[in-house]
Amino acid sequence: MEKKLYPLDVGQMLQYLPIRETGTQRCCNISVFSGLQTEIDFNLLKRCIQDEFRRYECLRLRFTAPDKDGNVQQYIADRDDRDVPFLDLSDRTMSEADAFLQEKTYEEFNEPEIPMVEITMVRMPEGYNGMYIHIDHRLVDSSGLIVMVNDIMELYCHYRFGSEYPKPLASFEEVLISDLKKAKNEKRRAKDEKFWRDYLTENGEPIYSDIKGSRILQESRRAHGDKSLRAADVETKDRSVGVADFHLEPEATQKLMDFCMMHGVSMTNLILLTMRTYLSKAMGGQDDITLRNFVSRRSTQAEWTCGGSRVLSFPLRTIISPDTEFLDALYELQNVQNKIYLHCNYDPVAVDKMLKELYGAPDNTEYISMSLTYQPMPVRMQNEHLAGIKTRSVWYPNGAATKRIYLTVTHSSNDGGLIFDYHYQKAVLSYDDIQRLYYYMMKMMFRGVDEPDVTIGELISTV
Amino acid sequence: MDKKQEFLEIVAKYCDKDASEITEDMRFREDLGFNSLSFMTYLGDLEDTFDVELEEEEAIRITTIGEALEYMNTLFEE
Repeated sequence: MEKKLYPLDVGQMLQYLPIRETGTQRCCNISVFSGLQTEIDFNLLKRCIQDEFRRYECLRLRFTAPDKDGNVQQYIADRDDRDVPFLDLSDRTMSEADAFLQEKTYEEFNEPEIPMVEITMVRMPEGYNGMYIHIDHRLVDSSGLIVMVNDIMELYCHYRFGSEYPKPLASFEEVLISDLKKAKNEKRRAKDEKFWRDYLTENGEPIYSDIKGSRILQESRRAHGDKSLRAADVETKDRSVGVADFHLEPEATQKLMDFCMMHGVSMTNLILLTMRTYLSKAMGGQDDITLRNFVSRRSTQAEWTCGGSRVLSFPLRTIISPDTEFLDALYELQNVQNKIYLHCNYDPVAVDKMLKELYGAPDNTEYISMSLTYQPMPVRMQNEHLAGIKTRSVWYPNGAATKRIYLTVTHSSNDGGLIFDYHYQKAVLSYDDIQRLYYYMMKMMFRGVDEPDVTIGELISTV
Repeated sequence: MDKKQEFLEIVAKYCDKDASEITEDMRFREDLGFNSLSFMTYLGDLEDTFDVELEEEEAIRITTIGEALEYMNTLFEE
């Protein structure tokens, strides 16, 4: 049967570009262990994983070899009936088992037209049993991965305990066709382009900010012999990644969520405001701070369950006067963010290109040092038959940091508390730097929540 | 399909409901589970489907299906 070839959509392209830039597919890998602290029937789990390859189309995506311009195409293989391997790491310590799985994350999917995912059933130490998923980011993003893990466990509960068979997942191909059609809508594209051009020009050129203060920009200015340079050099040689995880207790998390609910603001915006306020403090009160926010374009029911990589990232420029009260600053930021949401189907690569054309920053320089993804959906496994069983989810870094600081905020599958997972470039930042960042972010966030009328200037000077 | 039905079909795509279950008193956020992103994406969807220009500030203030229908009718009449 002839293969039906499609181009990558904008979300997939965003993941593919670093592969082209770095020459390694590794930077596009996602590797996760997800398991339960209970006995699992591995024969049954294997059946569920094999079912999932039939149910979740995106797992059967294949990519062609790059053409002369470096572009690849994709198609969905009809079937994938492979065996599911089993790995017993239960005789090791947890850190040894994690180190073993960490090593596996560096394995690359480099050949064209091969499966881009490996799922291994794993018996871990301390009674945890589950699966290790090693997958190319173009097939799923974090939401897509969570949908998949939850679906496999729903299947497991169906076969094991007779619970209801899970609803079908949406077709990746149908949503892709719809996305590609939308991308060709000239009227929409013109509107989006106008929005982004206006957005990037209305306040002039952005300026770099960093938790290490203004010396990073000063060093770049010296290196380029340009005293007015507003973008700083990006670390491109050593991309080794450091990870720092912090867990916020469920009661404190609930307090933040109640605040968001009461004032009609989103958790994403609350975190973004805190990030930019700390950067402002580190930059000696600079009121012009640009962040990068990752938006998961999952709005319709089909988009939620079709898999794929629907995460796009856009610059978020915040110019907030120190006299602004915390809550008003939050509304200001939310207004900007809402406008971005209306135009977030636009190609983010084109936005970055526009920024470069407008202000001509030198190659390998950036205005942004911190990026955020907020993931509101926990790895659930909340089927009544699994209730009360402790879960363990570990995201193993792929060893290549393309961003200076990339913060992912998720909800713990055990207690619902927020997990702040910072990935940072070890060549330029230390664990202590990140620990300090988290400490100040929490202090600022809770002070703002307790005193919504505190000004941003007060927060910067007193926290 | 008339415009009201088409409008309800679009809303239904964003929530776990059939178009026939959606009533005019339903609120986007509280009753239908819209968040900021899905609401803004839905506005873009309306613009593309009905080939109209929404006034962003006005559209953002809409809270119920009935208000949205009323607003859309004013655009159709223009």
